Formats: sequence, structure tokens, C-alpha cells
Amino acid sequence: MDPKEYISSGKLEEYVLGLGSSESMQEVECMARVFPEVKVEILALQITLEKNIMETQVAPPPHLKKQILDTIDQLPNEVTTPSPAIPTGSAPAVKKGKWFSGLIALLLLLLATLSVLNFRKNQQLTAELDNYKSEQLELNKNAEELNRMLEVRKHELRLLRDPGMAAITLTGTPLSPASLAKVYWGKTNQEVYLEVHQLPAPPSGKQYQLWGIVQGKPVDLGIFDIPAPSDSALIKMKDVQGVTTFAVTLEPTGGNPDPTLDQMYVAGNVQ
Amino acid sequence: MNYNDIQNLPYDLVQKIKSGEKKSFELLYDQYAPALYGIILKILQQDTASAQDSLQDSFVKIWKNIAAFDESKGSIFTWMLTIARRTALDKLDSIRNKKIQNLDSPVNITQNQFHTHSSIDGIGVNELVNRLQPDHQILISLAYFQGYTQEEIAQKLNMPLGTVKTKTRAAMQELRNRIK
Repeated sequence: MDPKEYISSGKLEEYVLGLGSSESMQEVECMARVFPEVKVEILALQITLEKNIMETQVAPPPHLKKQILDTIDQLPNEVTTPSPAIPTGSAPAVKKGKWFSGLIALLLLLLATLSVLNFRKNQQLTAELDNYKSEQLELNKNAEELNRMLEVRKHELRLLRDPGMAAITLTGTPLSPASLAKVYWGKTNQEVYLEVHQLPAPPSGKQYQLWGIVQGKPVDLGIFDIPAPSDSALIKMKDVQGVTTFAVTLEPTGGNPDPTLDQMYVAGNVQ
Repeated sequence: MNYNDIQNLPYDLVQKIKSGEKKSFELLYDQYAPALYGIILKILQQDTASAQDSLQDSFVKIWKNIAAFDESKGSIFTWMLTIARRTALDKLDSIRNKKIQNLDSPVNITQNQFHTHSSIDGIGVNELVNRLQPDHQILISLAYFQGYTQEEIAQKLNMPLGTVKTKTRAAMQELRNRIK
């Protein structure tokens, strides 16, 4: 129900003038309770009537006041018990059954209207809530990811700051001049970390393998995949001692006991 | 007493009357009796004896029913006005019925109907509405002061019910513009 339409229906004027049936009185009062703008309009109309009536006052004969007060004094003391309300300006001779069923119908109508409004509002809020929930989930995921990356970087930073850690740059061979990698090698703790800067994606069935040359002989330091950008930049490889050179070759998946030398992509000497 | 003075009534006047304080009720009487008496006189077509009875009945009802007054529905004046108008209209009804009962020959009934009709013509005496445009005057007088339902008015004036309703609304708007 549109309150604006209701205001201009003429029902409020009937109500204020006391012209409507009890049913329509009840209806207007219900509407006034539901829609503040209806209530405001009713009050304005009541004031209109009050002000106009105030213009036509006639003083009652003075003895009437005493007569009325005397009548009240003689009444049994029952003022404080609320008696049935005088319906606000209802028309007489409306059958009670009709009145009652009208009221019920109106209440049901109101209830239905409110239910529909409520249902719509509810649907809307549920949709909004779902949006917020998935947004929240997304944000949580992002935060977890950032935390994980932060931990990784912290770890890397600790390693790099270690004074015993040597950084060896592995530059591209003629086979792949643009390739570049770095090895961090702890001379005291023998730990080896590989950082891939640039290597071509390996063809299927092939994998890169890191080698350390120890006393002129290649030592397997493990196979590795090129890490995704979001993953740790440093790949932990096998520990090694006394290395003079690091090199990466392309080998069959799973690695090779000996390096395929014509498939060397990067190499670098320990200073 | 003008309208603004009434707005300055003690805010707890009704509360005091509800708790049975007669001094406050006297104050209420002083403030509103003239306005209510004016309305009652109009409804009862200046029959002062009936009007005084009705005013008394009205104030007794107001005293007895003050607990049922609900501020959320409107001012105390609106509520009292409703009671006074209803009481006077009931009185008018009983006067009309008495006339019909006492003089129940067909001729007299016709006369009574004629009377009712002539009161429509004499509407101009109501100062409340006499500045309204004529068709609005008639509607407000019949509805508010004579207590006819809108269906009865439609019949009386040989006018569609919808028109009666539209004109009633327009009449209220005209009253509203008058007090601005």
C-alpha cells in the first residue's frame, strides 16, 4: 500500500470528521501506526478542525459548570478503572459482526503486506550478507597468503644476511645466454639455496638439475622445478662441501647420476 | 481563549485528570467548554436546553472515560470534540425520533422530511463553514453537524458517492488553507 495514495484517498478526512464506519476508523488507525506520514497528515487535519472550531466558541451559562462538577462528585469512584473506549468519532448502528470481520480482514491484509515487505527486505539482506561473507573469505585468503609469503621472505632474508653465506651468480651458457640463476651457499653449514632468475620452461619429460663441482667432479645437488612467482624464490637444495663451481643442466625427469654437459644452461664459479 | 493558549495547557493536565484530580478537570472545562458548546449548539440548531444537557453529558463522559484517552491518536481537544459531537448527534437523533413517534401520520412524516430538507437550505448560519464555497458548506454541514453518512448525503444531494468523498476532502483542504 502506498501511503501517499492513501493520504489522498479521502479516508483521513472522513476519519478526522468522524464520518467513516468503525471499520474504516480502525483501518485508518492501523495505517497511521504503520506509516508515519499518514499520522502526520491526520494530526494536521485534526489541527485544522480544532482551529476552525475554536473560532466559533459560545460561553455556556455559568451555572452549568457547577452542575457538571456536582454530577461528577456524585459519581461512584470509578475514574481510575478504564472503561471501554469511546470509539473516536465512529458512526452508530454498525453491526458488531461486520465491524469485527472487517477488522480481522484489515489486520490480515496488514500482516500480509508487512510479511511481503519483510520477506523482500530479508532476501535483500541475505544477499548482501552472502556478498560480505564471500568478500570476507577472499580477504582472509589474501591475508593468509600474504602472511605465508612474509614468513618465507623473512626466512630468506635471514639466510641472505648470514655472513657465512656466499652468493654465486650463475650466468647463461652459449646454449641459453639469457638464462640467469643465483646460488647461496653456506660455506660453514654447507646449505645450498637456488634462486632462479631466468630459465626457459623445460620441455615435457625433462627437469633441471643442479650440480656442484667438487675437486673436479660433478656432485648431484638435486632436481628442481621453476618456481611459480608467488612461491618462495629460494629453493633448498642438497648440502655440499668444498664446491668450486655450480651448474644447472637439463636432464630427463627424475634427474641423472651424471650431468649431460651439452645441456648446461647456467654456470658460475665460487669466488 | 484562542488556539495557541490551549497549546499552553500544563503538559501533565491529562495525567492529573486520569489520576482523579478534579481541579485539573475544572481547568479542562474552562479551556474547552465554550468551543464544545459552540459545536453542540450548531448540531442541535440553537436549542439551548438540549445543548446544555448535551454539554453536561459530554463532560461526564469525558470524566468517566478519561482513562481511555489515547494521546497517540490525537490531542485531548480532538478526543473531547468527538465525544461532544457524538453526544449532540445522539440527542438530535432522539429529538427527531420523538417527533416521528409523536406525530406518526403520513402527513407529519412528510412534514418531518421537509424539515430535514429545509435545514440543508439554512446551512449558512454556521459561521464555521460559511466562508467555504457553497457546495463544501453543504457537505460539511450535513456530515459534521447533522451526522449524515456519506451514503445518505450522496442520496440526499443526488450525487455519486465518489463525488461526495472527493468534495469532502476538498472541503477539508479549503478549511486547512483558511487557517494558514
